[in-house]
Amino acid sequence: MTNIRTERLWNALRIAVCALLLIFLVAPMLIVIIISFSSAHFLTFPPPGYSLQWYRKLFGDPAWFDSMVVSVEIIVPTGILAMALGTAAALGLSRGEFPGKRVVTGLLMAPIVVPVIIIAAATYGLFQIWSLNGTLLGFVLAHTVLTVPYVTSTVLASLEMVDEGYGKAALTLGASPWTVFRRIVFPLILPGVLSGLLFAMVISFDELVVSLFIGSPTFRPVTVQMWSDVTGDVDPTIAAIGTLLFLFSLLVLLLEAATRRSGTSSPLMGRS
Amino acid sequence: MSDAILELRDVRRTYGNVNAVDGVSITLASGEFLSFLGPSGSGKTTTLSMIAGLAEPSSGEILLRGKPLNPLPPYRRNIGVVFQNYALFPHMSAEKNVAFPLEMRAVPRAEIEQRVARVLALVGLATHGSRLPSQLSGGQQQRVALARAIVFEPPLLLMDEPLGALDKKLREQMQLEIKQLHRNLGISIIYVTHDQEEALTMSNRIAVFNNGRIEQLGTPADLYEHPKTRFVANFIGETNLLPGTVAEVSDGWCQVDCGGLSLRATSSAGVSKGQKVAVAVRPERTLLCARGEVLPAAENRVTGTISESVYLGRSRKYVVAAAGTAVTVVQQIGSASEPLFSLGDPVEVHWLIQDATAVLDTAG
Repeated sequence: MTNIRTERLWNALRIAVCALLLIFLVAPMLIVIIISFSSAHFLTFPPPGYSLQWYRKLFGDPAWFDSMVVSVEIIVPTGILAMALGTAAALGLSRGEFPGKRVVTGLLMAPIVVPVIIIAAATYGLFQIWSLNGTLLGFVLAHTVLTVPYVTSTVLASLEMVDEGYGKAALTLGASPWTVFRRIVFPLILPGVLSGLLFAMVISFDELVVSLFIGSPTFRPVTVQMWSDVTGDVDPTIAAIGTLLFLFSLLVLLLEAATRRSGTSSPLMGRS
Repeated sequence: MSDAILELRDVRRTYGNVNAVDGVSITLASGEFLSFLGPSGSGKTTTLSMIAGLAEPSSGEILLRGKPLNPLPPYRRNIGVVFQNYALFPHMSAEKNVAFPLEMRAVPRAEIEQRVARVLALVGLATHGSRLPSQLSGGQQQRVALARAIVFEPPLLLMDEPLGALDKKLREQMQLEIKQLHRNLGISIIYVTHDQEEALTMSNRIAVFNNGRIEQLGTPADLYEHPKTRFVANFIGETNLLPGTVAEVSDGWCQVDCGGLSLRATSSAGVSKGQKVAVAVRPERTLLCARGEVLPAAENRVTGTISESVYLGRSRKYVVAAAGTAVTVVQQIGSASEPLFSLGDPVEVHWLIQDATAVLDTAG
């Protein structure tokens, strides 16, 4: 009896702690979402009334709208480029044996560890010479450097699951190394590659520091626009764009979870 | 040999300064079932990998139907391989797995379907074609792997401990099925195993590997009856090994001094006077009787006392403690299940000269 009762007590406690944690994590986001529908002209909570005026302003104001277009222009090529480079790097690192492998791995992963402000300053200096500051190409290159390590690590993780025996078997069955990759290895790591692509796009979309350095008044992504907005006078537009950003990230996360789920339930990754 | 399908000429493979394969030469006759038998790390799997093209020989030549294989990549060798862990492609159904080698050979789609269906039926999986490997049992996966390796009708099939992961019952059943398949298809097979029983039941010939070399190559009966080295005698079946020194050699047999015992045995080539050898006698080739019986001159005799007696169902195993050694004896049990001897009984073990072999006492 006491056993069951203490167990119940523990269960209740566990649920309570989890709930509190969840509220702690989600509450700020919820408040932002609520404020974005505010009728007031400044950030107050709770809002005195509700309206869609800040969303209208967001889409009506060319500064906001252009910056959203710029963001999309940046994240699509960045994601694709990072996916290609990161996948290639992962393949080389997992299958190849070459001198200096550790050094290459370290360099490749450096953007995760090196303080962003340092990367930002260095990139700015370099792009000054190459006159790439404030250009789409510059943004894509800079963001690719930042996002490649994420792709590499997700693809490396899914390569772990691909037994080298599959490749050997395929070779003995008459498949050339390229066919082995196309027919066997690639389909098996595809969930990892796609999740790397989504990660790269979200990180590029959220990136502020490097963008602040290499952006220009005429070419700036959403994050930079938000930054200049909050440093000036603050109105609930910032909450509206925050809500949109949140929805975008949520969507990508769900997509990522979906690719991963189809990956594990189908035997793609299911080599228990 | 004109009907040789595969020939290995002094093939070596070194990793750093370790000789994984240290000068292997074999000729495989067309349609033959040859087993590579040996403990793990003896070089049998490495040799197989070199034939498949998955490992490169450091030196030596491999010929398939007289043509050198060395310059060919694995995907141009047209040799079927069944791997220990099956290596079925997890994202393809059984059918797709089996169709894969045919697609690689650009076989027309209609013919692929036909051949896949035929070979799946051959391995008893006609109705399982659409299943994914994860939805098949170990034995079924094994069959798919086998089907995939023979569907493109290779002249040579390599099998690397293919039954290692299956339980005993299933393993014995699969052994019979593979033998049947071998007979029906007339394919040449090289079969790697560390299970001597499996090698004995399945093979035309067995190559016993030890330390990267072939210790002995012969038919199962050859290896069992006339082992050349202590290693072979010990690895294949249960055997008594009585170490001693050769006292006398005359044609075909020799006299061996085994610590006070003088034993006579047939001698393998290369046995000479003064050499350290071991006299190998199979437990079931010995006879146990009460002390003092008169024996024909052609027999060896060891006196001792029964120190162990184990009932095995069909037979009974005795261990006889003799001066400085112990001899294992296996006796068939007739209708009476009563033990004929009890612990401590004074007995004599004897055996015929032709049932004992003096083998070289090589280390390892």
